[in-house]
Amino acid sequence: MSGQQDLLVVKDLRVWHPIRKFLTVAGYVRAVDGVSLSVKQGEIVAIVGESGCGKTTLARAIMGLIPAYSGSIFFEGVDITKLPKPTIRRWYSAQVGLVQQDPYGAMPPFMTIKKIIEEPMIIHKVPKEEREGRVRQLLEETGLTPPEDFLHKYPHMLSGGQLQRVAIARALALKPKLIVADEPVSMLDASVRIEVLMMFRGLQEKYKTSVLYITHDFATAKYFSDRIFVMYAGQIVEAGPSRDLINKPKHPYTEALINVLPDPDPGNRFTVKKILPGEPPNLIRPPPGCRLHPRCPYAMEKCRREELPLIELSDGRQVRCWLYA
Amino acid sequence: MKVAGIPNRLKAQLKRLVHYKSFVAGMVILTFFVGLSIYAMVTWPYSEAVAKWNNPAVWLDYPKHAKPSWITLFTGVRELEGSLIIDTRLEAKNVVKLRQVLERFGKPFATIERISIGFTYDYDAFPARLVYVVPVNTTDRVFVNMTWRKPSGIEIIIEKNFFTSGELIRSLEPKPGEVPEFALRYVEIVEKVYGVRVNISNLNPTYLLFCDDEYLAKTGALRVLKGSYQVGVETFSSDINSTVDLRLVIQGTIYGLAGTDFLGRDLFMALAWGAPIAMAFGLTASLLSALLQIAIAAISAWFSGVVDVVVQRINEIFMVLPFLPTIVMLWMFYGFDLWTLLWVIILFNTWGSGIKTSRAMFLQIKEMPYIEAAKAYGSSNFRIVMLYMIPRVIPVIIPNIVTAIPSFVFLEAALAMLGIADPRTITWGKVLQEAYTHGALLQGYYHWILAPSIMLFLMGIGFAMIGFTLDRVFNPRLREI
Amino acid sequence: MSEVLKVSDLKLYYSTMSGVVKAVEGATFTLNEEETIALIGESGCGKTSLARALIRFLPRNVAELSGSVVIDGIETINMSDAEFDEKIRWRKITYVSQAAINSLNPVIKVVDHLIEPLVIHFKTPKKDAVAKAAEIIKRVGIPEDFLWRYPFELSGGMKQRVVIALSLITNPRVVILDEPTSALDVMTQANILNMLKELKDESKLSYIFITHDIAVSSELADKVAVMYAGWIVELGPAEKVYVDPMHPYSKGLLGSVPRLKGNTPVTFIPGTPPSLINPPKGCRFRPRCKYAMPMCEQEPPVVKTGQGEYVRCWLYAGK
Repeated sequence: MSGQQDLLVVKDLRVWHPIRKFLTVAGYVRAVDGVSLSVKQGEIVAIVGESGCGKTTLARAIMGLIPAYSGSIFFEGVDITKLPKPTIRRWYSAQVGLVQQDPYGAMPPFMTIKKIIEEPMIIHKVPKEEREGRVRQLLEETGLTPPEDFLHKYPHMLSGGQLQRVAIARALALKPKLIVADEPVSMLDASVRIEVLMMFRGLQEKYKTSVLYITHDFATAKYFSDRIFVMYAGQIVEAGPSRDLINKPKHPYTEALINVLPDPDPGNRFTVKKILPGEPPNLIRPPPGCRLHPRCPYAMEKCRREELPLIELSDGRQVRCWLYA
Repeated sequence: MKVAGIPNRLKAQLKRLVHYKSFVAGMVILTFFVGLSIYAMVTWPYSEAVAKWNNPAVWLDYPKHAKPSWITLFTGVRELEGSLIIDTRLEAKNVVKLRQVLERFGKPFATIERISIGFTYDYDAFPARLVYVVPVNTTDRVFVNMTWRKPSGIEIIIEKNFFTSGELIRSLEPKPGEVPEFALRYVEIVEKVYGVRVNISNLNPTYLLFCDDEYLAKTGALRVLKGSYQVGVETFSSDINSTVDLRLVIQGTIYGLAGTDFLGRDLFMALAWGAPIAMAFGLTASLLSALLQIAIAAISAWFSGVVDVVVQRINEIFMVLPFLPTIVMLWMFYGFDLWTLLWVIILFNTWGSGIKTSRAMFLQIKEMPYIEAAKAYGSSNFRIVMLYMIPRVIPVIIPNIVTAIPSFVFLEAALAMLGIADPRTITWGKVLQEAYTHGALLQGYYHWILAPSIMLFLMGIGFAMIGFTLDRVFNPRLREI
Repeated sequence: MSEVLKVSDLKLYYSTMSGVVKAVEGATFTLNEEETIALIGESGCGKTSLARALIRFLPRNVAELSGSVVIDGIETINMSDAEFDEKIRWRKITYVSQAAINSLNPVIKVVDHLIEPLVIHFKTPKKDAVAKAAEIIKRVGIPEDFLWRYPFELSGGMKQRVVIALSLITNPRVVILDEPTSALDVMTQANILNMLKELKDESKLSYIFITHDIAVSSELADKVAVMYAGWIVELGPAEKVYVDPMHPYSKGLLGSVPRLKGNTPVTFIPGTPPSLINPPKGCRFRPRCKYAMPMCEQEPPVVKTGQGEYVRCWLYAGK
């Protein structure tokens, strides 16, 4: 959108969780298996997938919270998978912010809102005089006005929507270049959800922050993000500009997902949705070839044997499917 | 580092506490103990109290095994409280002292001294014991003749002997199979006057001196003879400078608020001093072991891996170590005082199942999203443990600490019963143990056992009520059950 | 079409430490055979309370429960719990709660879960009950041999199917589905919704479908009741409510649903729902409503807009 430079580049990232048995590693859960993506400055990128597809693991790896098995994550050209832990803590943790799913669990219940938003600034040694003003400013920016009403409250006194605003304020406290938002609105009510997302988008534009928006919800991704990456079984299966991708999905998985998602329409009740049979594969021993092939209506012989890379299509679309090779 | 937020929230919750009757009742009990402690500490500073308590000489004149004096309010029997002490060296009232130097050939060669003491005894109950002391200061021998004259007019010679310089001390108390000389004389007098030979075996000789002779002769039973008594001492010595005095201690049967023990020690002092010691002991043990426990558990849960394995193995060793035999063994080897015992108890209570429970709590907290958020914005390990994990369990820990205080007090008492106790410090447990070893229950000295037991019980109830209320307020989920 | 449920002026209050919570007030609707009514609204609007009042799954702190609930021709509001248990629950109406998926005991076999209501409430011989369980589990799309498995061996979607099978095994007239798919993935959710559609036609069932997801509600709803702060603010056929809602709240709610097809901009309703202990005077939506008028300070009238349809708003009064 605004900038064109890549802020974050993930290259062939694998996050494999070892399964330990009696001191030996018996196998790996391939939660993220060869993911490549990039986020430009000021861009909102959505990663959409069902639960268990590895999107949260990917987010945590990008946050530097869990180690990568292989591959790289370049942030402003620095590979953070090679950085020692203290550097990640001192430098990188101020560059990226995190907004989590559960607004109630994301706040220490014993801290006041002021303290919660102040914490990142205390840790990164922002002078005290500056902090007070910054907390007020953030509360105002996130629509928690007047700030006096919120500064000394505890999380349990706020509604889910208000808490998620606090979470966004906390994530923005250090003016990070990237915010990873993991299902930030999925636990909120419909009307609040849009309000929070619009507020978030406004702040994102103001701060020129990039956002990695992790969600299972294509509908909000369509309104909130610039580009969408669709994940299935630890891999990116399709990527492209949001509206384009949703209007004309190419990958059979994306197509099936979008087809089953309803819009409020009285006609829905007379139709039966076409669904993919079966369930997502086990990530310890994923199927060979294309990971969707056991469920895919278009599966060919080739799909069962050969794994394939993301194929570049025109107008910024990418898809991992033999149909387009 | 200040733990943010906690004070304000605590304040709000503490305000709610007052609405609970159990809390108010607990606070009343606690206030009583605090008041008692302050009273004890002001009246007898610690070192003075310990010194006094452990020096039997201080308590010589006190009645032994005296009941609490308020008991007479219920029985209506007038009893002598404390001891009636008459010392001719100190007072002149009711004392007549005559000294006569005998001369032969114009030269003094001997002295005769006559001392006479009068006192009135008009209590319904016999005194527990009579002690008399005759201090003699002479270079030669002294012949002492001591008489006891009852209000009935009967006079008994209770001492008739030669003595050398020093103190003649007689304590009249029942000694099985032993009848003092004067008792035999008394029997003869009674036989002469009333024509009845009374059986006095196994009687407290003190009672003979205070009993109604006529009643004894007629019924064979004892009754106090009220009225004025006269005690006389007559000495004859060839040393003209010799002096003689008389000190009479009539020990009563009731004393103070709590009575006395076998040494005559004021039990109220022990009960009062027991309170601050019990509270300090219980609070320190409970607080320190809880704090150490959560610190160790938090570190173990947070760092996991090797740290967790090491901590858990150490913990398991402590869990299989039998507490009682180990502490008995340690005590046998090192025989520590109360405060060392406290550290040993803290050590044993910190480790054990408590750490497992706290660790389980922390493992749960560790997975909370706010911990991940804290990690994401760069909190150090130390900060996460201290500021994010530990404050979370404080609402659970505080009520537990309060509820556990009496259990440590009980533990101290139980160990004291086993003989594992600081020989010098005054604790309720020690009082109980002495009562037990001196057969308080068999002998009917119920106050000796009951008073410390009630103190322990009250302290248990008080802290339990406060603890349970705190739990209801801090952990509101319990309120809905 | 016959009427299986008629609720009139239902009121449910709870007493709590901070005051009386007016969870449901003046709820009125009817439900015909083979019809689905969707109760939609945001969390805390009283939709679950309303459902629980119908099935009598109520906490102990109920302060008031009044109005009329006629289930299959029987007035139930004044029944004792025992009588309700004997005559209505399981026989006429069943309830699939939000937490039902986690309420299956992991160490009790699926079959034992399924036959329990039959054996206990209908005194069916165990053999017949097992046969019935086998039939019902096939109908919810689970192979019969899963009867002999334990719940922990099942996926989330399968557990949800078992729970639905459990609610159907006693042949009720009305099934209350409280957020039956909100814990599931989109694909599984679509699967379950497909199954519910089929079951409804096969068994002449009526559903009360409670959800906060407006798009999903349109998958089943013949009728929609929009709830706000304890009130049904609008009740109407799906064709009307989803396409052209009347009440300002319904408009706002529909407007806040992001749509996959087309490029309708999304909007939101500013403000937060009121406390049910001290709701605003007059119309409860007034503080957030962009059409608010001075008149709204008085309780809004229930304006009939058709057969069994109404809207609770001053905008439509006198029209």
